Amino acid sequence: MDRRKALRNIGWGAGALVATPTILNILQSCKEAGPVFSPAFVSAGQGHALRSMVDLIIPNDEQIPGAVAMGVHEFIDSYWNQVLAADPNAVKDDFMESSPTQEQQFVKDALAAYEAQFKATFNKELADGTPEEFDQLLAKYLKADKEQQEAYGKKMGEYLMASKQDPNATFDADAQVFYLCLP
Amino acid sequence: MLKESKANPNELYDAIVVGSGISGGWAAKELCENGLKTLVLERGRMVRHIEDYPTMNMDPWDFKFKGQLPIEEKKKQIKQSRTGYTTDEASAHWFVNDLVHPYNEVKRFDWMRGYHVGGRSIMWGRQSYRLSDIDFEANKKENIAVDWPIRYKDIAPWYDKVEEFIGVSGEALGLEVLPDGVFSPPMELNCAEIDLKESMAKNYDDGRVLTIGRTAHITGTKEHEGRSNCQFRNRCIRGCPFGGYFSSVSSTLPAAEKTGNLTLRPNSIAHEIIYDPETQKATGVKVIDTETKENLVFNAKVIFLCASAIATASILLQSKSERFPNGMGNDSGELGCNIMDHHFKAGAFAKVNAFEDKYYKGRRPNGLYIPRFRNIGGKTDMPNFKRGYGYQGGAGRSDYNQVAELGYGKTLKDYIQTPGDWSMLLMGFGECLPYHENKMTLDYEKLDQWGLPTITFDAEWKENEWEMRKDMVQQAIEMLEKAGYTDIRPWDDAGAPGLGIHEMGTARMGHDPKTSVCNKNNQLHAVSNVYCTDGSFMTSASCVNPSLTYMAMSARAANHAANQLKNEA
Repeated sequence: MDRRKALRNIGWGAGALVATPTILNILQSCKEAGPVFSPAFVSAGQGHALRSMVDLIIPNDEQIPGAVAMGVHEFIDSYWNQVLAADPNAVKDDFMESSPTQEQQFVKDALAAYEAQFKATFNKELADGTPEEFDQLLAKYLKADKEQQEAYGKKMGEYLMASKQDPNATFDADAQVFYLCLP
Repeated sequence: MLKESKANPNELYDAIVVGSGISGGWAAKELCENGLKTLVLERGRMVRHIEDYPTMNMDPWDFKFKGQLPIEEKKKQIKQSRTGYTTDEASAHWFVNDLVHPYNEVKRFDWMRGYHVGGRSIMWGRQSYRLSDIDFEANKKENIAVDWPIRYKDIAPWYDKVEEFIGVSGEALGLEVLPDGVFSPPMELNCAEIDLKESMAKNYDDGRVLTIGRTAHITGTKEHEGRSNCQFRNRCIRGCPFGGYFSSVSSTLPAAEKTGNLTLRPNSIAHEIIYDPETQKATGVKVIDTETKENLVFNAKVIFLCASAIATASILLQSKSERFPNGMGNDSGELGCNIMDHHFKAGAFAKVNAFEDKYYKGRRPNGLYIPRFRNIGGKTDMPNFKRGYGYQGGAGRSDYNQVAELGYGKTLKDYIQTPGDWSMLLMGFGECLPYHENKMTLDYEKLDQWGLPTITFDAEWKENEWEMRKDMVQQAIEMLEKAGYTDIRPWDDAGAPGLGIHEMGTARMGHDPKTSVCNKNNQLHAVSNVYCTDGSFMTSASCVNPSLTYMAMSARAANHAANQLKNEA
């Protein structure tokens, strides 16, 4: 059995690792040796949260690499940075309705709401968040029941209508985070 | 290998063709094959088959932002992006920069342009249908606009010729409303589409049928020089390295070049036709070279305008003289009027709820087709609208995006590796009536970077189109319901004229010079050596995709012109 496969299999029996600190060190060093994620759009703390969340949403498994291995967190960060409009009027078409969800500001606000929520729940900075904590918060949104999802949808609709009249309209923080987390 | 040339302003060409798209390619091929020295002027850049298709072999992960362009690039194509599918990284380079090529809208008009050799024949939808006598007779019967000066028998042999050369796959149905053509083997319907077809046969006795789309892809054993069979990659819009579908650059322009009679000049904006009052004929074309900024004149015995309906009308409107103060050939005042397009994006989606153990192979670049079944006599006649529509659409299995329950981690990962539900889409493509007041004009106050006037659109859908759209939605719902499908979602997104990218009618054909611009041979009534063979000549729109008709009429007109020149010699 080659070393990569052996390591992968060991990785799967995560419970066994507690008793084998040498191997744990190997795995940890692998993790450290991975490319450092220096986000361009989000803050370092938000980047840590983003990376943790995409790992929870699409984890690694035996056959198929997960989101982190594919660099999804880097993709999302650069997408927000380069594809979304900084200025809501940047791609304004007088004859078409444009959606404010396409704007960088919308994402920034949602990230700030998420960060505030995280701090209030765990009383610590995003940068120090553990996978368990991110999982707990993600579950609140992504395991929401249908009724709750519809309520978020309704709030989104209300926000979109309101933002047409008033560009500074405020958006329900929970609904905002829900749309941020939606895969 | 297609060669570009600077061309010689001192040479008298037999023919000049303005535009190298689907019409220009055919005009050039036929003129050249008739032995005429032909100069093709193309305003955009050079494109060579295969060599100049930069995205043709890219996979989804090769695109930086899943195909989306960075905001700085998007800013250049705000109007071109109204289609929602053309300005991805895969194909944005085939569509113009709106900042460099602006136009004006009194009402929203979606003018989608590709300025390069091959024009929109590279990105076209490839659906290829014949008009029928029901179309050619409609204006006269209903006393709308003017009568077509031709009938189906005049164009039928040219449809044959075009289909044989380009390769059209499809199924013969023997319908009066949609004449059969010269077909290579049809692509296959999938199991859900066959299910709908059978349900329709059981539930309707008004003659409506479902077939596979007739599309300009090679499927049979017939040889087409330099091209091979469709590989079912469905990346057509990027340019096909196999030449699996027809385009000017893969087919007609190489055929024209093979004769030794073709001169192809890209980067050449034709903007005015020169008129000689002595002979009452056109003598040449004024051109701006976009690379050197030079103003040039090229002379020829006959001129073909194949620049697209809007650009052709614009060139004629700019060709003012003492004889033609309102633009060449515009004695009727109809030049630039009667703009038509197809209105579409009305229909319904549904969930099929069956065939969970079935899938399909390959990425079929085609869908189903339901030919027009309204207003063709008897019980099909509708009280609230004229003409009709056909449906395009198809069935496929969705991915996880359709799922109602959320989830993440292992649940999500398992789910996205499982094919989703079968869903079906029916989308109507409706005929738009010719309205004199749906028009384009030139704005000499707002000039483009070449100092040429910009185009202003003032066109809209009217009551007949709106009434027809209601029926497009209702009938789609009814057919899907009768097939037992569920979760039916009606859809009606009218957009604006132009969005169908079938703009036509700006220099319509007719019997009478007082009410039309071109005659039955596509010649300007008043200037017999100028032919319009792009969408501009269309007297009515039919509900079928028009490119096959532009090609057939371009071939017919080119042979007419060649015969005229031979007779004069």
